[in-house]
Amino acid sequence: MKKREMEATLRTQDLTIHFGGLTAIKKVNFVLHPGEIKALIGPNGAGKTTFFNLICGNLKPTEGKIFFQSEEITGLSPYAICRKGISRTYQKTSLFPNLSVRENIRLGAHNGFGGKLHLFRRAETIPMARKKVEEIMELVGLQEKAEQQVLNLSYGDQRLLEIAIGLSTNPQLLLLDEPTAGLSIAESRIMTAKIKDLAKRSIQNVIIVEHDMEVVRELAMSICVLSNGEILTDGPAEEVKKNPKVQEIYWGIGEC
Amino acid sequence: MSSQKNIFRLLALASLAALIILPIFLPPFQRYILTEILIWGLFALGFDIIFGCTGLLNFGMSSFFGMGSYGFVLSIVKLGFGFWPALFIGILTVVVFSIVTGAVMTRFKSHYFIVFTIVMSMILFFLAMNLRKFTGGDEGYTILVPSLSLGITDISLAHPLNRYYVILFFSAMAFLFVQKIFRSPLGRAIIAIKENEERAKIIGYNTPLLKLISFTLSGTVSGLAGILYVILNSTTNAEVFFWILSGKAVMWTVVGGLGTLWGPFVGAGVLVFFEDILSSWLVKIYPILIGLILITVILLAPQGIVGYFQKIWTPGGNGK
Repeated sequence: MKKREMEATLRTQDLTIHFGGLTAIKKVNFVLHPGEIKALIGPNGAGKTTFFNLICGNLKPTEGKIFFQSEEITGLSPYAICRKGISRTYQKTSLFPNLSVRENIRLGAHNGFGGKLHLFRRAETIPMARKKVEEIMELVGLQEKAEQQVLNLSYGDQRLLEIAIGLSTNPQLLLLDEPTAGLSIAESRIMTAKIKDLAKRSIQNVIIVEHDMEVVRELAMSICVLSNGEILTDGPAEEVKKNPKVQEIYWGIGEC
Repeated sequence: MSSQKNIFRLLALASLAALIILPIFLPPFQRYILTEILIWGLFALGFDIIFGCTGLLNFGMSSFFGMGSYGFVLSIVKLGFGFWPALFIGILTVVVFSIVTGAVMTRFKSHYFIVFTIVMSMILFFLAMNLRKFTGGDEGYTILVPSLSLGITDISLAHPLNRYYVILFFSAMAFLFVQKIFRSPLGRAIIAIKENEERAKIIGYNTPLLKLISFTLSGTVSGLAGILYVILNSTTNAEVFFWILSGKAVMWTVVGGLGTLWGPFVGAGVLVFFEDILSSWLVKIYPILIGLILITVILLAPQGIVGYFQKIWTPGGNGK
């Protein structure tokens, strides 16, 4: 195996999952190098979200292995994987609806920045988590809505909070599942700028599933194209866009 | 926000002061009812922990109440223990029972969990009825509760006022302990499970373990209520395992306010008080009136009495 692959932030080896007779992910060998922002694209049903679910431990692979920073994490539970440093966001917003924005972020921060096992200390008084919560709220621009109940937030703010919760566990790798899903063009641009900003300031390793090619062009250094559960091609963004097969399957010939 | 906090603090202090002073002036029967309300409130607090704060609907709360009361009584009757060792055994019994049953049950979801909890309490009820030599069956045991030794002096639990203060002390301590837990990161993580279990897992919480902790805490609190019930009445029998008691915990908590921790005490207070007044005036129709109270609260304030006031006093807040 190449040295560069051995040092990969995330690597999968022949990753496969069957749902009954359907093979949703088939012998996928995926590599994310340190400091890389990679887009995972493909038509609906290609297996992108299933791939995320496998990495995060929501699903157990039928075959194959997953390595995170050279350590095997195959079959670990989602909370154990989170503690190793992988965090994710959801395509469909998944928050703690009756709690405040601040508390939504704090829940993750207690795991990522210490203090989760304090029995008799008020949750809001743990210094490191407290500091990080404020930082993350500032990063995504939700500090003015800190005390608002999440139920009452606009959809755009809920999408931002989704990312804030993803960041709150202090991850080394962030998986973003369609962060701009359901947003207007203007909101989508703001979201893209925020993700670009946080990739610079806070987290270097990102895998992003996205359908909006503008967002992919703006953010991704490399692109991996999935089709029917298999990797069609993987490489630098410019090369992948020129690949005739990709143009045919995903963009449509001549569109790119 | 701080003025609202002050209102709650003031209310809490006023209630505590009333609970300390009031019984001295109350006639014996009313004092007995007040003591009972503390016990039922504590019992329902156990239900609030598991359902109101964790989202697991446990219909078998009477199991823990029964295990606590039998652990306490049997260590006095069969082993001749004094107050403190009997209290320790009573609590230990319910902690071990909660961990063992919780380890299995918290793995099940929604209606499976509900059915298992009902079955658990019914099995215990029939066991307690049939193992007469051990449990005393439906007659149970009537005991002389040993004096509470404080080293320098002994407090006789034969006197109703002493019983009341001992029960108030243990109820208040248990309540403060639970409240402290639910303000800590551990408690907030348990609430996160109720809010969104999948996400709680993804942000690093060992949700099966947290559910077991909550199940055990809930069982222990309800078990302590079972012990206090014996201290008040000097008796226990197989009836304490019966499902009706579990149903009452649900009713008291819903009326008082789910997930509020104060709610179970307020709900038990309102319903036991009305039941007491109405049952002496209107012997035949009082259950209908109690039902009407229940329906009125659910229609006008679905979040319960405490939940309603929390909502109007903390607009935009999360009600906790």
